[in-house]
Amino acid sequence: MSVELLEPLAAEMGLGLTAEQVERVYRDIDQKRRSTRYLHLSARLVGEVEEVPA
Amino acid sequence: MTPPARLGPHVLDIDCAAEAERIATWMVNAVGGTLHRRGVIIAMSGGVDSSVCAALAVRALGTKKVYGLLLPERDSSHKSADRGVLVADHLGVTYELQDIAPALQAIGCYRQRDEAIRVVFPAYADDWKCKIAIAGGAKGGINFFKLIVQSPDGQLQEARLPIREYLQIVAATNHKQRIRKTVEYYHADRLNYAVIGTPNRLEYDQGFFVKNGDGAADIKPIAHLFKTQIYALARHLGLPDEVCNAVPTTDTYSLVQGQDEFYFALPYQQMDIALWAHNHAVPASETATALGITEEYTRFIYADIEAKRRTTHYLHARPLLVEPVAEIGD
Amino acid sequence: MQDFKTPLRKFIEDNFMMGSNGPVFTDADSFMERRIIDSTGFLELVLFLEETWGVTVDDDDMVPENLDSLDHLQSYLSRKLHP
Repeated sequence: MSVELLEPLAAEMGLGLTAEQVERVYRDIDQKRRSTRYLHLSARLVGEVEEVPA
Repeated sequence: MTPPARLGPHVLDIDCAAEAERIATWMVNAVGGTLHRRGVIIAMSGGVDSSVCAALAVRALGTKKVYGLLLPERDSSHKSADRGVLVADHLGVTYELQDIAPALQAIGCYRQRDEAIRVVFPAYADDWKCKIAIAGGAKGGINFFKLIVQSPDGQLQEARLPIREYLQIVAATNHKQRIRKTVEYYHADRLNYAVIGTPNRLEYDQGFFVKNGDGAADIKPIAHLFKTQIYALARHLGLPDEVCNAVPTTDTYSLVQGQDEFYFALPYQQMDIALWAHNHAVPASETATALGITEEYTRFIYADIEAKRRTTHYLHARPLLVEPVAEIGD
Repeated sequence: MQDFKTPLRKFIEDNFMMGSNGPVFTDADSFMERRIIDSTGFLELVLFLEETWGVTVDDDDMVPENLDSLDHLQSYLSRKLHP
């Protein structure tokens, strides 16, 4: 979402945040998704064991 | 897959040097690249699987990035910890020994197990020994489990386990694998390391692991290898003879229990070939000849392999969601 | 002749099929082949037989010919209870 839309949206939602702050929150959400992706991964294998579906 | 020209132990031959190199390269990429961890935790039971994983980790990452854990408990064989130390010293890895018996005691593992045993054998006491063995299916019957106990005077008794007592004994015993994994992840968290899981192909394929116990890990470097191949790697990697020559046991019950008594239909050398043959659509008659068993028993083993895949599929499954959370892809 | 099939069908539907929304099975269908009951399930079934009708299922009785369909169970229980 563009910065121009964020500020009025944030105000409308009563968040009391500036658009820049909301942008920072969005980046934080994405960064947490990246750094915690490993928590969702099943164990890494060297080679597929075809008889056990991934 | 098309059946081979002739079935025999040679179908499991691997180029150990090439395979060790492949796994080492993979491990560097998995640990550093995919998982962004600084090293690996390896729980070392003294058995060939964990010993080979430790040796491969040292080869891949160096001794400074491998942290070993020896986690014996009340029913562990003394030989296990001794062999674990032998391997750790041989490889030059830093390790820590933590007796998990107090933790298991506190969580009720031994009490809950013994409670169930005493439903069947009321005289069972702390100085007795026990194990579970599977029966029935191999003779064309329906599988059930026998509880075998040994009193201090050496006398053995056995009886069929009713379902409630069987499930309670297994559930209580599963604490062992889960507590070990809890300790492994404590060290992984404090060191920012990845945890190695050590199932071999037969165990991984056939669901011979505890969910969120020894089944939990960040990397499983030997899950694609048959036990026979892992022993070959152990010799290639120069691991001590005691490890290369040890017979696999579960090391979970106070009476020595072979994996083929409790779970698999054959000793590992034959089970590896049976699994390989089944995966390659080798007719039962040919496998029977190669293994020196009857064709009827081979057909039972093939059916048992498929049955175990079905019934243990849930051990591999990720939690089921009502609907996908799109932002969390796999 | 005592009807064992009706309570057995209800037990199987309630415990292994989460109610009667699971696959339909006939009295002759093999539980193993239709994958209605797995190995742990047979042990639960044995407990149900023992607790409901007071029979003792011996180790040697643990065979498909006695336990692996409603028809087989009807015959088995009839022999055990009305020899």
